[in-house]
Amino acid sequence: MEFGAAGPLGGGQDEPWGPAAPAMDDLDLHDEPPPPYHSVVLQSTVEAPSTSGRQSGSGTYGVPASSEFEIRVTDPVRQGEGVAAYVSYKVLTRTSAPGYRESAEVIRRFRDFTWLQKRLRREYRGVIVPALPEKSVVEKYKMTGEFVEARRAALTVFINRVAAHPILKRSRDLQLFLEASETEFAIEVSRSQVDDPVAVQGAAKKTLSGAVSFLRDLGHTASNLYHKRTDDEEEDAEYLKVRAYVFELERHLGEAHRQAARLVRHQAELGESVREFGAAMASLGRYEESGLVADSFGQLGERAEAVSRLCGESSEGLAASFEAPLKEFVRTVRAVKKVMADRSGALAALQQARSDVDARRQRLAKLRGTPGIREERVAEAERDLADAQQKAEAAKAAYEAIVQQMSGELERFQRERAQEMGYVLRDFALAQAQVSGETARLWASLVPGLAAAAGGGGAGGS
Amino acid sequence: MDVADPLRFGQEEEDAQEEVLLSDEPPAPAPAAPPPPAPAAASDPLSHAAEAGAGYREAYAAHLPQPLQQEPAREQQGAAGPAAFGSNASSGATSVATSAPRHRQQNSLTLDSLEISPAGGDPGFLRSGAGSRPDFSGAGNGAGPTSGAGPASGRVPPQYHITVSDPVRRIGDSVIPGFTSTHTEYLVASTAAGEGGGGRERRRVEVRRRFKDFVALADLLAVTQRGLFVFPRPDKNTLDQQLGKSDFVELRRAELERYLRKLAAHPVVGRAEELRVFLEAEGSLATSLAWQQLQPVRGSLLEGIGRLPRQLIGSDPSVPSTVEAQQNARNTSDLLRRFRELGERMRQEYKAPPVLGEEELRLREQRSGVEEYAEKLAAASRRAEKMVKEFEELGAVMGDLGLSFVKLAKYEEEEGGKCGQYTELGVGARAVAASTHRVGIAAVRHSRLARAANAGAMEALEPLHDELAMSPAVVAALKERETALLTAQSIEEDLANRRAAAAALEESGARRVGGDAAKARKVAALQNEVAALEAALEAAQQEYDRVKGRNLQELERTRQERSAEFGRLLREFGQVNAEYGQRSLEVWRGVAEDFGAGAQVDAQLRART
Repeated sequence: MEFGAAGPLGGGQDEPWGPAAPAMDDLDLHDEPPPPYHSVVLQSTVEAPSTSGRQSGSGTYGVPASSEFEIRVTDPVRQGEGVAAYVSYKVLTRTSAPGYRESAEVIRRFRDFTWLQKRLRREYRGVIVPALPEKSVVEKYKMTGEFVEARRAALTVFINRVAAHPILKRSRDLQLFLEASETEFAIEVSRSQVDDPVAVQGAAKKTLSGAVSFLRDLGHTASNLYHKRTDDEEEDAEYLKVRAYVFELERHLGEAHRQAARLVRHQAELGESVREFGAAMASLGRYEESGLVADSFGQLGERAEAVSRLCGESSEGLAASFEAPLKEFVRTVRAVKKVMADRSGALAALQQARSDVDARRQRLAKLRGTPGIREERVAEAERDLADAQQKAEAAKAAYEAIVQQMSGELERFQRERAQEMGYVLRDFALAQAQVSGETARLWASLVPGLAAAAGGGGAGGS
Repeated sequence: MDVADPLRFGQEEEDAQEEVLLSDEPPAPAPAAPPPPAPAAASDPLSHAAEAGAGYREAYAAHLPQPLQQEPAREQQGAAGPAAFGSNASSGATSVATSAPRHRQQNSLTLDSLEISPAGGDPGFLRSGAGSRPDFSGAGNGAGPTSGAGPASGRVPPQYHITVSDPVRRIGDSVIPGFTSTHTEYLVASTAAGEGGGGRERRRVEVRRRFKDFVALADLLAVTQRGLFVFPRPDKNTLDQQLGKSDFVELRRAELERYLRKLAAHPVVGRAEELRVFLEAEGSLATSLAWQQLQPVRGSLLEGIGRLPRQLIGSDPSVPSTVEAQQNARNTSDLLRRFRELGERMRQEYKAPPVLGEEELRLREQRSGVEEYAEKLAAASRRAEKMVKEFEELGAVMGDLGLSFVKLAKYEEEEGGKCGQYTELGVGARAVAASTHRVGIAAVRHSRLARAANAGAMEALEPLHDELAMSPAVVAALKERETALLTAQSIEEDLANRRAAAAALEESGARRVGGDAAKARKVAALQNEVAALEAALEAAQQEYDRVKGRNLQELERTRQERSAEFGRLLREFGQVNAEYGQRSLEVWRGVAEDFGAGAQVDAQLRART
């Protein structure tokens, strides 16, 4: 809370570890730091001014209300060339969390964020892991300033959300991500991939296991069809409502985001066309014999220029504080859907395991009922059954764990979303009010002078 | 009147609703944080009404089978349509009004799917888009005398109030016998102001005219009012016509109306006999006696071709008559004269630039000035059009955004509300619904403001487009003067040649020309020609002076008018935009207040100033 109240992510320049203090670029953090990082920074990161002027107490999008962490992703740097090129970021952490260093600074790239997200998803099933910005193949090669900046902002939001999450913040991987030096981190990453059963298996085996599970799923679905029942029958009716709600929600939010993106684009285009119009009018004014009209045309040009600047600023502001958050909401809903799919998967696995148990039990009974059967075969069948029962138990536990985890998570998701949505919309209204007010002021200031000009012109005409 | 009432756009409907909306909303403080749906709606009756129309029904309709869907949609059109999409009605043009409801119905039917909702804004789009083009501003101005008189303030009131309406297709005989051709006739209704201003009774005359008649009018004016800046007649646009563009007739109607109004507003042309006859002659114009009497003597090309050989072998004196000398060479049948004038032009160009009067020099400079100015005008007009379009787009996008938010709100409230057991979910959904709905409604209102403001801006910018449309006519009129001068000069040149020839003939011995009698005859013939030429020269010079006088007078008039018009343009444009900014500020301030951030709005604004 104390961080949250202090302002958004240390946006204040007076903080000693702000971007203005490059001296603390301690080299021991990077093992091989050949390019002095600050010399190659694509663009220095300036926190959006729109977030700094808020009254204390009112929340801001992307800044968790209470968190022991304050993390900033800054200073994107282009690394490598051609197809292998990527952008790395500096991740600055300041925290009061137990077991953490008070402050840390590491270099990470987008892939590392993805790794963290994957690890969290696997470790905390049923938890809604915050969403990362999309991997954009096309944009990646362009790596325009805007794209990098938008991604940087999104990464900041992501990592802060993870660190503020009541469960995820305890993750060891998070600490590793925030504190480990690059080599250390790289070693850990490769080690984690060794642990990871899927990653270790060769590609062939992966496809094989994939095919097997596909066939099993198919059998499951077929039996569902045959018995005219669905997986959902076992689900809580209330949960099913929520699931239906979330599924459609993505579409609605996506539409809102699409319109927001259009607004951003058109605002910029309007600004440009206003500027051109103003310039054309000003140059027209130079031909005017009447001095008053000529002056007024000049003034019109100036005002148009100012309005155009305003539009441009507004468009940029909207992109950062309106469009991007809406986009993130969409992504978050997708993350929720992912978790829900996970839950369905777990349930399907449970049902599969159960039907396995049933099948083996029947087989055992059949064997037992067969006279003169060898004892070994019965024993084997009993072992199979026990095995299946064990698996079913495990599947049940896994499923229930997810269910347990999720009910709290869904509420948290909704609570946070409602709050943040409120912030975003409030800021949108504020931004719109500001642009409107400014526009009104600019144009109104043109009018008094013009009234005189028109009065003179009218008098001359009549 | 303009100052007091800067936003002349759609005041009537717009205000009635807007005022209520604006005054009703602020005093209803949103109850604390997440207001439960019912109270929120009750505290804000009008936006609720809008919501009920735009949001509820349409969200509801989405779940209905097709036939049922029609019903609520139509209801919405009747009840809440104007509230949510009032701009349709507010910017309504007279002629398109009939088609508007159909559009709107379509609009509400398809509102559900947002791909189509930009098209839902189309009626407004098309109409204002049309108005933004210089050719048919008349469409948006159907409102009548008030808006017609607005731009004309500070100049002579037009002689007539004119409307062009009711296009009817007629079938007539074609040029090729046995075939028929169709044309369109328009009803031209004019109300003359009468000679004594408002003193005499106004009379209304209705006649049927076809496009060909308008062409004839323009051609006639070009001859009789040589040197005046007459507004150019609409293009023939044969291609558009043949491509069968559906709105071709309507566009042409609007253009023609605008053309006639422009003519009527001209201080000289507006009182000219030509226009009066055009507006008042009963029956077909071409067969009207009054009209035929107005026609100047004009030779046909065929006649000219027949005359040329005789001119060349000398059996025709090839001296222009005084009437001919007062006309542009291209309107006479005298082909030789055209060659002469061309030759004269070449001679002036390459050999001896003629000594020109100071005034003439100044006028020529002005012509190149006008041409340059026209380029700038074209640029400005293009930019203005683009800006207006972008603005329109932005308004539409804002509306779409609002709509998608309202829909989201509806969804959150209805579907999220079902998640009752997960209480946090229900509460959260309702909170999102409340804030989203608030912003959505505000965005829709902003979009309506933008549309209204855009119509206002377009009207304010009209002088720019008019000025541009006028500039070719100005150049043409100035060129007419130069041609008139050229005619005089070439006659002068001819005259000098013949005088010299006559003198030479008199000096030379009688023997060389075949006897005294022959000589006397030739001398007499030459002197006749010289006398005729002198008369022609005088006529040509008179014509030149007349055209020059008109040029000068017109230049002065347009200069004054332009500065008044541009002053008005700037004032209105500024006012419309300022008003728009102010009103949308109020809308958003209201939203910010609902979020409890009203104070921040003022702080922001203070910080900038």
